[in-house]
Amino acid sequence: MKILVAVKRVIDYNVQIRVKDDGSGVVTENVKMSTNPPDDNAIEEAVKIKESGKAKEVVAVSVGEEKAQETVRKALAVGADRGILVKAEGALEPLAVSKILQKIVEKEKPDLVFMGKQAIDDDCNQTGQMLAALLKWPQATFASKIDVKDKSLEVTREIDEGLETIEVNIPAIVTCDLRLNEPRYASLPNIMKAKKKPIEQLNASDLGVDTKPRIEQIKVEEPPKRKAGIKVASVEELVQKLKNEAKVI
Amino acid sequence: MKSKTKVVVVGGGVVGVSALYHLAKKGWSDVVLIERKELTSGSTWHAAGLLPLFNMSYSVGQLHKYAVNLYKTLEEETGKNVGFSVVSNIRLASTKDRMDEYHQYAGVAKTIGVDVKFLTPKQVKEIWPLCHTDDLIGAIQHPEDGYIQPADLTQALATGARNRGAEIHRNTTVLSMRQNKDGWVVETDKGSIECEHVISCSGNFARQTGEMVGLDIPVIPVEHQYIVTEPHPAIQKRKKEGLPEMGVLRDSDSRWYMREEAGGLILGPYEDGAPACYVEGPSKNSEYELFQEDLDRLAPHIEGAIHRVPAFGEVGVKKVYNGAICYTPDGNPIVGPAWGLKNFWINEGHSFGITAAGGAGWQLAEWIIDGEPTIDMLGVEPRRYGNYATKSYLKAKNEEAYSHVFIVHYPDEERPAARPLRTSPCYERMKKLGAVFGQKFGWERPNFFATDGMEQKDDWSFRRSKWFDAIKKECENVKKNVGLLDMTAFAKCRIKGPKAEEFLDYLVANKLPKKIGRINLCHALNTKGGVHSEFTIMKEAENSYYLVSAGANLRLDHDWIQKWMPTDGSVIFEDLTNSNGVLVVAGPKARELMQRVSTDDYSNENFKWLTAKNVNVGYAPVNAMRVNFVGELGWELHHPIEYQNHIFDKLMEAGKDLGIKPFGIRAMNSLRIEKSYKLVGTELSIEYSPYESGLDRFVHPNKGNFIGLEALNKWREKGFDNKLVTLEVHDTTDSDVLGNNPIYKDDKVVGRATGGEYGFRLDKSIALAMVKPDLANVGEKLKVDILGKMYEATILEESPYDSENKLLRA
Amino acid sequence: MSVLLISEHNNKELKPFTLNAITAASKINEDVHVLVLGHNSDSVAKLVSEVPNVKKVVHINDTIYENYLAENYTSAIINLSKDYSHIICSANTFGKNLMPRVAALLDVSQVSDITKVISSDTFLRPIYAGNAFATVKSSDKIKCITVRPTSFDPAPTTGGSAEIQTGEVGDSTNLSKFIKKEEIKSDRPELGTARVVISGGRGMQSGENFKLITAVADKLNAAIGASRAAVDAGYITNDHQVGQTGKVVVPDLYIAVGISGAIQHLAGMKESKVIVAINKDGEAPIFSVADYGLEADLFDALPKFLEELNKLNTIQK
Repeated sequence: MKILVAVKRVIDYNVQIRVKDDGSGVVTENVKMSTNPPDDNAIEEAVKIKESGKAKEVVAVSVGEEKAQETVRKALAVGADRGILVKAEGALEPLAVSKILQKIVEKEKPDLVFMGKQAIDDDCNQTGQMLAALLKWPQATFASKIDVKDKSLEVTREIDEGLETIEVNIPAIVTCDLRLNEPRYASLPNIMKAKKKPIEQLNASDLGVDTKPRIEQIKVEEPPKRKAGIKVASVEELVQKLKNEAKVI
Repeated sequence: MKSKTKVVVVGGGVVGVSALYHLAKKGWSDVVLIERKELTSGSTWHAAGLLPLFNMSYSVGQLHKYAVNLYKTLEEETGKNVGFSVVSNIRLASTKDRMDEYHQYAGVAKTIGVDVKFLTPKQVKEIWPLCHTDDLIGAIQHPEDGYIQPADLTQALATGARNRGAEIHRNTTVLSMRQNKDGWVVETDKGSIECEHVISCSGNFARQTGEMVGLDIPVIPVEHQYIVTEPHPAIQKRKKEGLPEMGVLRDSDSRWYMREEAGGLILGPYEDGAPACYVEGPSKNSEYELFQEDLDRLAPHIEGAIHRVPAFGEVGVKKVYNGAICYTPDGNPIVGPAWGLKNFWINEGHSFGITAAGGAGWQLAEWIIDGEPTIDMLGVEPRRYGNYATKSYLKAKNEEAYSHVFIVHYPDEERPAARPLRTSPCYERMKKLGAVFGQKFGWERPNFFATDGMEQKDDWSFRRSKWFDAIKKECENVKKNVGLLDMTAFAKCRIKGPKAEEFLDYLVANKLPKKIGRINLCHALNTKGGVHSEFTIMKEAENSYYLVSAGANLRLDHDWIQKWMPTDGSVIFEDLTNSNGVLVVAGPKARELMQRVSTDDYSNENFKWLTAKNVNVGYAPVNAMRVNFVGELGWELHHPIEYQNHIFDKLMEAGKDLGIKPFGIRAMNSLRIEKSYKLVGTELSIEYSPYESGLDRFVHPNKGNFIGLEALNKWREKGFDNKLVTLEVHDTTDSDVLGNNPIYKDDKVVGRATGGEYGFRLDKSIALAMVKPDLANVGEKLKVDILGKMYEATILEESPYDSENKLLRA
Repeated sequence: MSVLLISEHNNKELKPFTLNAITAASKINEDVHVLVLGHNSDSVAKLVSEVPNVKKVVHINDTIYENYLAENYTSAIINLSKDYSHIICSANTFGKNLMPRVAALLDVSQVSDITKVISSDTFLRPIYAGNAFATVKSSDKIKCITVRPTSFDPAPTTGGSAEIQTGEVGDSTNLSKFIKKEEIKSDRPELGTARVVISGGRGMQSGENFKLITAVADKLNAAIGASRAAVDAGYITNDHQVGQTGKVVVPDLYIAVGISGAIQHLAGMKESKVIVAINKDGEAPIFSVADYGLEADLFDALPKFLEELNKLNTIQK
């Protein structure tokens, strides 16, 4: 079995997001970037399945600018066998990414495609589902547990009410939730070794995918400022405020 | 926010908060700190919190020592835990040069009272069992060293300051600052505050803060990364067994530090190629910012770390921090008064800010409240740079300083970045003659001349190296024939105007030269009576004086003059540094040489020692001053800089058969030590009175009032603790005193060497040293530690070479 | 053209977020049609028809819709899509799972999680976990939109009488199969997702004293967090650590007790909806992010806090 894992390079989750003065987006210069956190869970799960003997190969793929290579490298450092970078300039919508991934799936013919449930930059939560639709594969979103069976997966999904278990036929798309596993950290020797693992570089344009955005981003603004807090004089006052003003208890 | 206060501190990192704390602690409770965002949100928050006492500099070493002691007391004082882990610190050595460095450092540590132990590789293994020690030759340990939680430290200092009445305003931005009659007006987005003093502690914003008041502050940050791993079973096991932390480990030769962190390890390498950052300043909204990590850059150091501590490679990397750390070209911070501005103080450029914050705040509070610091701050002096330190220069030099954090700090090290920058006209000629250059205040100066097939390349060492033979030849030639030295880098200025004499007389402790054409060596004391600056003063005309001082102290000396100068226009200051070149001829054949190139009269009767004349050399106008710093017959030839090559060529050509040879700064240093001539920064310092430094004959307490007189008189009544002596060091073979070596009498430290060199004219290893006055007698037998080895030393009479100055006056 | 809203239900009752989505839909176009895909779900279709904002209900009843499987839902929606300008559902796990599958097959770039309707093609939506808001304009012919339920009021449920039309059953894919659904039964909610988090810092002084925190957490059904200082001091295990090196939490209510508020900690909790700080040091930086700050000794305040909570009749879970 072969597992393809899609990973995205995003602004590190610890970074304080700053909106550009001209409202054209958020500041990305001089900003630390990392792998989209649930994509780490996706890689971890794929590597674990490989370690259990149920998969033979884990391929990490990223779509984006040249530097997304770092994100692919990180996947290689924690156990992916090889990488693919599809270079594409500018803003990419999930629809375009899923079409690119569709081409990669057609080429690589994996049995499973894993990715994070949502990217923490655009917060779209679309790509996995769209890819499933384009491939006419089943989808298991928000996975917090995956059991690999013979020709199917049994997946526990985190839904609003609690947990739902479904079975999906292989091939399938799984989008991973943060609680799926505890992603491992790469050791430095593995980080160094990952540099020697192959990364195939492709161009989105060569794949024949139109990546032109369909959605125009008119402006980006800061969220409304946090209301200045107050000091309360007593515990009684605190509880009253929480109950009647903030309505959180 | 109040509208008036005594001091506004700009910036709420650990450095600013410590400054505020110390002002309040010293009694100035009406002080305000302005922070743009939250306390610590610039670089303090991501600092690794190490407290390295190790520093080769006497001033920085004292600041660090003070801080470590202070931090231990903060919890008791403020009730706030600062997370101080006294885990000790081990620095490893795998080369002989590194061990030499440690021995030299141990001397500095001894003289300032810092505890340092030498460890064998076996002892290292006992303390750090995870450390591979087979290829080590030794190590030093600071038992008192450790690390601290920087944010908690800042909060504790803030509490201490607030408890004493200081105010801290967060989320308040300084928009502009302007001088008014009484001090400064600081405009913020929450209103304006009038104050007497401003302290700039703005870290990564240093240059932007400086711009507000017209200062080009020589600070640009550099990216520093450290790696945090997940827990390692072996460390967790140690914790379970109740074993102590293994302490901070520094593999200097592999250029990193390492310590335990929550059962895992932290590795911080100082790699080549770390880029300067925030060159144009951080964005105005920047807070808690980190950059993209770049592990590739760290690869050799990571490999070194895994070799040294294999466990480090066995666990995963949890996080890599890449954040900005402020740097200056020499890696030391900038603490003290701004040049050209009254009551504006700079506390910037801290690359070891957590350690230095305590001492910097302490000394600034002394300086601001009492008018002077109590320790010699030359090493961190804001005025140690000049306007040659441009943005692009800083970028290159600061990146270099970063990559040099762990290099062996050779005493004769010269760093290559941003060179050559300032060159005297004869630079190319000297280069052809074999000059190997060093850089001072941006100027290229020959350190020595490689001749007779010697490679034209420096050779750094704590011991005598290849250049030892080169300067031997240079010194011998100065003694026998005549030498030529380029001293264009000298700081030069003219003080004139109706009140020039009156002002200068108040500025210096010596009497001014009375007659036109006379020269006196004069010292400006600070208000506490310590020695601030040394000037060679020549009276050019009535109420017009020509002042020469050390090139490295140009901004310091000229700022000192200008700050004391009357502002009514009765005294005029004119900087001549860049318009005048200086060539020095010295040696017994100097007179004959001068007479060959000049039609003027150089006889002893008509051109006495300590006089000056306007003469011609070839076709060029020259002001010849019969002084020099090497103790031979000679002249300093001050000339409009465009004539330099003409003069140079005339001298070299005419001197050919007299044996003229150029010599460099290192030979000059050997020659001056044989004459017990003092230098500002080593023998002369604000920590020593002129009497302690042997300047008795240059101080005239009865001449009328001058700066520092009152304090000096009081000091004299109290008695002095030191006396400068000249020592012969016996039985040296491959090394001489480098400075800061402890001096012993009966196994007790009784002083410290300030400088030393082999004296080729005397054929003795000579040192200058500050010792206890009761031991300062000719013939006294002492001991001096050179690189960990004890040598016998005997006090010689002052100026052991030509003590009666017969050669000078010949 | 009309707006098609996909309802979420359990074949008996409508899920409340559908009502919020209906409000959003009616802001785009008043002609809101609601699709009810289900099995034995007549009661749901009826409930929907009584929502005044709804103009028409399309009801498709089949066993393949008994459990909600996006694969089966999709084809029925696609079949209806040509008559609609917008297809909408709520941006909860139901809508997030479903809508992109529909959008991809329609070759539409979806607009997720809108918080405001600016015009029929322009919307406001949060990005970067709400640290920024983007105004976006869709150029697709059909617009596929998910709606952040909490940003819109629920539509009234009575007074309407929309026509209920029976729709055509779509394809069954047999790609996926529902197995079971279970409510979370953990005693205490997970730190990362809890609605309420109460954290202790170095001010707790010992692991023993965390009992005070636990008691309040039990009462509020809160997860227990800790600052790095408390973890380092060994008061509590490191899976409780909130902050830069621990977990990032965004609960509705975050109560920081005896935590000074070092940035490393703030990074992990400052996006919480309501922040309460209890600290005896009035200058502690935690107060600068707290909505409600109580300057008090936590050893007095916590027992009293519990006492006051006990006086309340109800506590939101």
